[in-house]
Amino acid sequence: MNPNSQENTGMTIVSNIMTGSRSYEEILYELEKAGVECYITEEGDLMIRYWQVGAKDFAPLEKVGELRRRNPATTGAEALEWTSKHLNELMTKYGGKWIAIADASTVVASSDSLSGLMEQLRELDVEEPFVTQIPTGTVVWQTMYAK
Amino acid sequence: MQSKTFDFAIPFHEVRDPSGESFWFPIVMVSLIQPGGYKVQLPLLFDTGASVTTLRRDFYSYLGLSRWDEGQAEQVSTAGGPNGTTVYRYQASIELLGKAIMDCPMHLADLPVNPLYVGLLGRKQFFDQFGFGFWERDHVLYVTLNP
Repeated sequence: MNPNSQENTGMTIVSNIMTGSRSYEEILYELEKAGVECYITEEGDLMIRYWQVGAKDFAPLEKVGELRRRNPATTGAEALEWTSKHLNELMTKYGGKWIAIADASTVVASSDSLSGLMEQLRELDVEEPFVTQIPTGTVVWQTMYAK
Repeated sequence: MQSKTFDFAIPFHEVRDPSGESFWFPIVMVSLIQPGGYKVQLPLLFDTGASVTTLRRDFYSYLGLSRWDEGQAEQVSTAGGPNGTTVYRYQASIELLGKAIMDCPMHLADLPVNPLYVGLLGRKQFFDQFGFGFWERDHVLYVTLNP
């Protein structure tokens, strides 16, 4: 990784790893295997979205189950929770439309069609928005799957 | 006695209808990756009854298709009736909890509109890459990235 790549980008590299002579495919494989979220820029740079910081043996094993229930790992469901909580308002304003939510609680785009929504998102350059469709009428919650 | 270890706990999502009755949905946030690398977050219903991950038909444009029914037609049986329904098979890359599954089989189907999920997370080439523990009593889906 080139430490000079921080020039003119506003980014600061606080640590780097030696990638040696390994191919880009090998490195991507290793990152994926380790569960590290990363992406490739249009210029071909590898960007790692974040690192998790851990503390080994932080809690006694007998308390792990209880603690994990109290502090579940983040699952990216914040936008879903927000949509559910504000469903009536969303149905009034966006009934029948596809919407995109960013930052967990901001509707950044809406359209009658998913393709129209995607066009807007491309122009807005929104990073990984939450996408769903808002119904017009009463939502039937009972399914054939489970209650 | 067997024991399994999980990395993530995904709480079910609770919805109350106007009468106050609760419905619990095992919804997981999945990133759908476009061929160009752009991602959107989609809420999918965790569905052990779905052989293949299935998205609402509107996603054809997102997958770079000109029509939703240009793929290979397949008949699938559903819990909703004896006659089954026609779906169309494609491939797409999806990511759950930072782990990407490339070229996963994907059906597009005529699914009803629900604001809290836009498709079904199904089994083929996906479930075997994870381990899942379904705990209805606690309304939690446990997930490991290393089954």
